[in-house]
Amino acid sequence: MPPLFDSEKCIRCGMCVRDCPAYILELDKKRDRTPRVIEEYRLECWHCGNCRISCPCGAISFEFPLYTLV
Amino acid sequence: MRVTKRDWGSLYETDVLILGTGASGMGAALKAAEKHADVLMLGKGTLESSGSLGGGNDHFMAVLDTDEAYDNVESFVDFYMKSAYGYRREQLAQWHDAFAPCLAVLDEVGTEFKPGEGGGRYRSVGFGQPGAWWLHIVNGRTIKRNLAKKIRRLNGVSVLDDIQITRMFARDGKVTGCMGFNVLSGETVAVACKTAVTCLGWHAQRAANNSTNNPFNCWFTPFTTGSYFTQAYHIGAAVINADISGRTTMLPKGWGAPGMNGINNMGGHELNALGERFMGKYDPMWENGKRRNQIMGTEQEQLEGYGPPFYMDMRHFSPEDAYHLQYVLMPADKETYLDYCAARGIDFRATPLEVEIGEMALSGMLLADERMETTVKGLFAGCNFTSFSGAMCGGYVAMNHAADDAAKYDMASLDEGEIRAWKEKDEAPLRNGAPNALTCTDFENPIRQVMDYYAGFRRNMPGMKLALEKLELIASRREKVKAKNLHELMRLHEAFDLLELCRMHLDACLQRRESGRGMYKLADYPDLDPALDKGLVVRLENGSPAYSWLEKQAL
Repeated sequence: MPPLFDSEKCIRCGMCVRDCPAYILELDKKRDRTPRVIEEYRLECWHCGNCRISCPCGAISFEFPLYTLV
Repeated sequence: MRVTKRDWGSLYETDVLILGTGASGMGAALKAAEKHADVLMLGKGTLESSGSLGGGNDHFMAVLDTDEAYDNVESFVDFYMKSAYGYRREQLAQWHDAFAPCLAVLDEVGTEFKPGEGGGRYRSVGFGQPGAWWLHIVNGRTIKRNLAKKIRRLNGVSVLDDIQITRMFARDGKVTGCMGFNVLSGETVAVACKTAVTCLGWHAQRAANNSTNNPFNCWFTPFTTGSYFTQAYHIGAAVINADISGRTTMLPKGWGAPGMNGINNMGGHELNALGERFMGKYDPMWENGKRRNQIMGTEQEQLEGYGPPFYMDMRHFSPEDAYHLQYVLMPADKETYLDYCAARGIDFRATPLEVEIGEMALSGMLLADERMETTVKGLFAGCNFTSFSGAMCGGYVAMNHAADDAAKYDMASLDEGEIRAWKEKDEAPLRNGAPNALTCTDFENPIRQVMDYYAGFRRNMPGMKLALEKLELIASRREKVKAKNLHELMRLHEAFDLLELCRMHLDACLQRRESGRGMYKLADYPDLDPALDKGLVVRLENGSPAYSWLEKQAL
């Protein structure tokens, strides 16, 4: 459910991190500042999609987790 | 607005304080600019994405004063006076009067409404209302940021993002300000004001689980956990109907998404496991009646074994309507709706949508006079009206009076010794290194464990009393919590509000000895008591809740 980031499309602007109301995203300094979900807090994602709305380059997609599909 | 640095953090001074930056806070900011008021709005998240509206919205309720019999202020006021408690006719009339200016702003920022066949805006009926008051929003996912763009440019309106508000302040029965901390930097902030509008959110989530056991997978924002009620209550505000205002909705199976109003009011049929449509047994308006009846009806079918599964069937829709519902309204309500549909292979035209009863959310109102002023002088209620329309218009109406009354008061002075003491206490979890300390989830999960078990749709008085004792036990561990960073400190403070609201809810439920007015049934009081057709008011007196009953206002 938390967003997935396409590191090739991402321009590292950080808008997704800024607008995530859950505060569960960060720019990963070890991976060239590609955004990532903070693993420990991934279940706090509200799947509101604000990160994707904020993304200027279409780098964000969602994969719904198993527990929402059963 | 003025800011000064202090040894404990930053002190802001503003004529009018807006607590919360969701739809209600935005309505308040818009009115403040009209009145040339000096305001500071602060809240969690960013203005562009905070609150339930941050997740999108597909409907705006508005009476448009056409020639239709239902489409006027009298009809609107009468409906809410008959179906709800705690409103005054004057309040509802002001909500009505705010429709036009709020719609004008929505138009100005580029909100697209579905056009009507004969021109104008398309409108539909919902929630058992007497006429077509609901406008359909096409681009709901961007409303919040479109409004934010306007609000950030308003003269006199300042915005402070990323603030977890931890408490309000009052002196001699009048609001003086609030404090909190920046969830990114940790800085303590306090705001002194002349008057305030609280817009902290009418709907509190995370009080119960749904079938997925993820409390953040819920239908409205999970980051609103009851501070609208608890923080105002602590400074003397009276709360109405903390008992019967708890509510839920039908959810797409496994996913906390709103949208049932769109499905119901466009004519969706709810089916049980046998493929039978059953809602006529529970509401004369079937699925498009009162939401409480849909939930209690579905619950009854489930108890009798006719479900799960349950479905909403839209196969009888015209292809145009089915497309509009699935591909326009639903993603307007939640940006990721079509990702969910794709993952589950959902097509409204071809197959029924599996649904389930969602988790119980808690709610209520702040007791307010005809000017929306609460029982705390200078504190105005911005979230007493329902839905996106009620939030935006509610903030707008409350600010109208808060801005006027700011002229009556001097700038409040806050007790900085008190702020230092609260800061010490608020940040204590960051310093707690005890091996047996509780994490935020260790502390919060048992709240839902109690609420799910003792305070579901079927309950009883002894069970709720026992639940209260168990919530007391959780409260007794409040000093044992720890947070390893500011994120967890924020979640802990959300949990503190949640725990208080759950206690308020259960204690209020113990006062109302009947079934059928709220979204639960009591085995020991199974019938509706006509004598209890009134609101329940709770107010903090000498450190304890004091209850009274509020008669419905004369129609």
